[in-house]
Amino acid sequence: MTNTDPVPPPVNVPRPRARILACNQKARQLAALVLAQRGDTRALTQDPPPTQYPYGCTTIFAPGWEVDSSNGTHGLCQPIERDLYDCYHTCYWPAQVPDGVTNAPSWTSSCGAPMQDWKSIDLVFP
Amino acid sequence: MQSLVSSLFVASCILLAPCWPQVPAPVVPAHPAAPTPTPPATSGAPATPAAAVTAPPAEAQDPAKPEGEASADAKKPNRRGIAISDPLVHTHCMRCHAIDDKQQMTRISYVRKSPEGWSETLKRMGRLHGLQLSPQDAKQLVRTLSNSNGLARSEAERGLYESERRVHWSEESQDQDFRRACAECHPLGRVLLQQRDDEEWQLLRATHVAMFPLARGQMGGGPPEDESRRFGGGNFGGGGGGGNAGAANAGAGARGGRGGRGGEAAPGGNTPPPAPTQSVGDRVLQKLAKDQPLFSPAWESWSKNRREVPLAGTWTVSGHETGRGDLFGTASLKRVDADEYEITWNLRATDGSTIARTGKGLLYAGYSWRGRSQEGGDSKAAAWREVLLLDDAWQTLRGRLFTGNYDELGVDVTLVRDLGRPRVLAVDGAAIAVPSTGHRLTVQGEAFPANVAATDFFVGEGLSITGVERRSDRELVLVVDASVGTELGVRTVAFGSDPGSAQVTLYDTVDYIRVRPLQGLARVGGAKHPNQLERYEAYAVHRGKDEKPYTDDDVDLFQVRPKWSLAEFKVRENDDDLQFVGSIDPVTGVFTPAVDGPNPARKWQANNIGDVFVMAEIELEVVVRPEPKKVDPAKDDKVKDDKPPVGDGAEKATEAKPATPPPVAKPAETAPIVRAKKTFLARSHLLVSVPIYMRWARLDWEDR
Ligand code: HEC
Ligand code: HEC
Repeated sequence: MTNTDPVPPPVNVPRPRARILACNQKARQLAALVLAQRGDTRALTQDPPPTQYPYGCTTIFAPGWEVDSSNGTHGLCQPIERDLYDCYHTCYWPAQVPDGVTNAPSWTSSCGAPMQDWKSIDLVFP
Repeated sequence: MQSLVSSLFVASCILLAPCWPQVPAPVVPAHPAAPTPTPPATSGAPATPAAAVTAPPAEAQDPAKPEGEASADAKKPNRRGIAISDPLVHTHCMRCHAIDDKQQMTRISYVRKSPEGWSETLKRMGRLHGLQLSPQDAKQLVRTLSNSNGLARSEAERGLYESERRVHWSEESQDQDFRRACAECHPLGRVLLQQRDDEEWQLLRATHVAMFPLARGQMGGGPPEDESRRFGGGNFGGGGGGGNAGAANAGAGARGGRGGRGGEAAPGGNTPPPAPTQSVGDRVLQKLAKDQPLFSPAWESWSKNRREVPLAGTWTVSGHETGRGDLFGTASLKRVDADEYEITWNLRATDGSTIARTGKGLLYAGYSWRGRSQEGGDSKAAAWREVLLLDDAWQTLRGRLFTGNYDELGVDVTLVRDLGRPRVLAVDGAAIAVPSTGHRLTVQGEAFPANVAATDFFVGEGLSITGVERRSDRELVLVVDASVGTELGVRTVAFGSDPGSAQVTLYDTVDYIRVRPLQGLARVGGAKHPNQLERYEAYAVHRGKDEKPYTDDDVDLFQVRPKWSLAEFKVRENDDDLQFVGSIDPVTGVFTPAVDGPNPARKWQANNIGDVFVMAEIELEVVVRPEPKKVDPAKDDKVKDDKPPVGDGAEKATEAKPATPPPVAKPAETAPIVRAKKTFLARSHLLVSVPIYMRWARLDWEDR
């Protein structure tokens, strides 16, 4: 992937991080690239010696929401505001984003266009 | 811009599940066959505490006796539950939770939870079902239920990291199924802090699937066979009359369910429906029912011997706060009512700062301390929450004091109850160089007599105590000499007839430094939502008994104060995270993330998230370990083979390397000591990620 690439990585959807499979050909290539580069990074920076990361993403932090399948952030939905209402409508991350079905049906009423009005998005304390 | 995948997914969701607010929301099932739906009554506005829920009262409903099922309980006359005797519970809950002649109440009698668990349940009773409680009653209910239907000590310990609201923990050791089914939304700790009978574990899943249809992807949620028969077959919910959620759920499970998307089933793909037999979710529920049953030997023996556990008195505190260093001092508890105490903390940190806090706390279920304290007792000052667990012998409280927007700033503490006899409980300055003279070892303990003498202490061969400076009956300084050739390693400091448990480490030189945490997490914030900080610290490390650095037996010696900086963690071309994520204080190691919100200066207006290296650099004057007198060439080769200084990914793993690798060899006994300046480097990884918009874990229980 180069910097002139016009589209964000298609892996850019909310999803469970640990077992994510790339959704299409392009995404698969991208994921492979990211992982390969991670390997390179280790090899290239021997001094100080390579940092070891626990594999898998649910091991250290509250699950998934904050890390992608390669334990980084480049595969996350970006910017998050673009994706937030999808998460809400689908109740996809009910522990991280208010869910529209049961617990916070009127969450979006304070903010119609999250990309523009992101400052009026409320945190919810159920 | 929305990716194709994402829109596909939403589309399938519209078809399959009631995802949009316009569609009547499914009620949470009281039982697989849910009674009349009650519209959820939450608004997105921040924060109605459990107490002040303003939902319209729901019509009376029996969560355990669905319509058309004359009496589910009648079929199971032997279902054994916990008798609920507190009239307060009867008053507030009986309207919906029927009580039988053994004082067993539907649902309530068959679950046990932590205080946080009860608080969450009461909030849901208010939010979704219209229970209204005064703040006083809510607190009292959490308390009475945490006692009658709480956790035994060992059960509370299992998920302690969740109660302690830790940012760094690991569930790696949990079984694969369990992690797959339950760890994708919240930590497993939340699950580990509950005990239920078989049926209640099933109902927990039903509740999840009704509230979050896509959870079927992880945990299944088709009813077990006998349930489907009981409720007229078909899929869960469909037979229960709980609106259209059931039908939708069935679809969600088969296609586009949450787990399905992440795993085998790409959205829009032709995914075969899950096998009707045992799913991951079924296996997990079965295992939970076995491992975390309603009645466990630990709980039964505890509840038989139940009494008020006395905590009043003075406790010696030792602790550690990342970045600040070690803390020592006392906590005094004064009983004000049954299980209720006033607490006063007086601590001193190794960086010289002092901490004086006062507050209040409650001992739940005989073991679980929950408190809250403020600097100088100022109720407007930032509060620290206190989550401590008492040991079985009632002598030690262990846990975490914390604060911060995401509870991320914490102090690990151990409190040891005063026994009134002299003993050593903790030491500061515990790394002693060999050889050395005049090392000052600060000793914390209790009841040191006025005439305390060097001969009262014992630290083993090769170490001689040349002086004692008594500062108080709780603290003194030992002056210690370590003679040439003293065996390196760990020793215990004994006093008189007490063997002690506080340890000192004898070392020859510093091999490398390491940074903690090995992997950090911060969240952007500050523009609209609060941010989450991360703090780093560095320790000088000795290579340990095996004489190889970067192995499990390496020992931390003392905290060092390096210069901190950030560096790019390059995972793609033109990786630019470093410019955006925020900054680290070069002196304190505190990382402050950049603000939240889309950043127009970034590609795709991405947030200021990213992952970077945290670098530590420090020059130390260290002893140069003498070259071995004679080197066996075969052995030398072996040393090279052992080279890769790679750990197993745990905290202990490799993260630094001295500028010059230390030779692996025994020091020559009589060689003169040579010192040299060396630059040590170490690094760690930092993730700067997105905010959390739903704050389930907000703690209300101790806001009293
Ligand atoms: C207005 C009716 C209503 C009242 C009042 C009510 N509940 Fe409930 N309760 C329900 C319904 C409906 C369910 C099932 C759905 C759910 O779990 O949210 C339920 C479920 C439960 C559960 C099982 C949830 C789980 O998985 O652990 C517990 C425990 C519980 N209630 C406790 C209480 C207590 C304690 C009170 C009194 C302080 C109370 N309820 C008052 C309606 C009510
Ligand atoms: C789709 C996301 C998701 C998955 C997957 C999930 N949970 Fe939850 N869970 C939640 C949310 C959100 C809450 C908070 C709901 C509430 O308190 O009303 C919750 C709450 C809980 C609670 C406390 C609620 C109570 O009534 O006591 C328990 C226990 C629990 N989950 C267990 C599990 C188990 C066991 C699994 C795996 C079988 C699991 N969860 C999988 C989202 C999830």
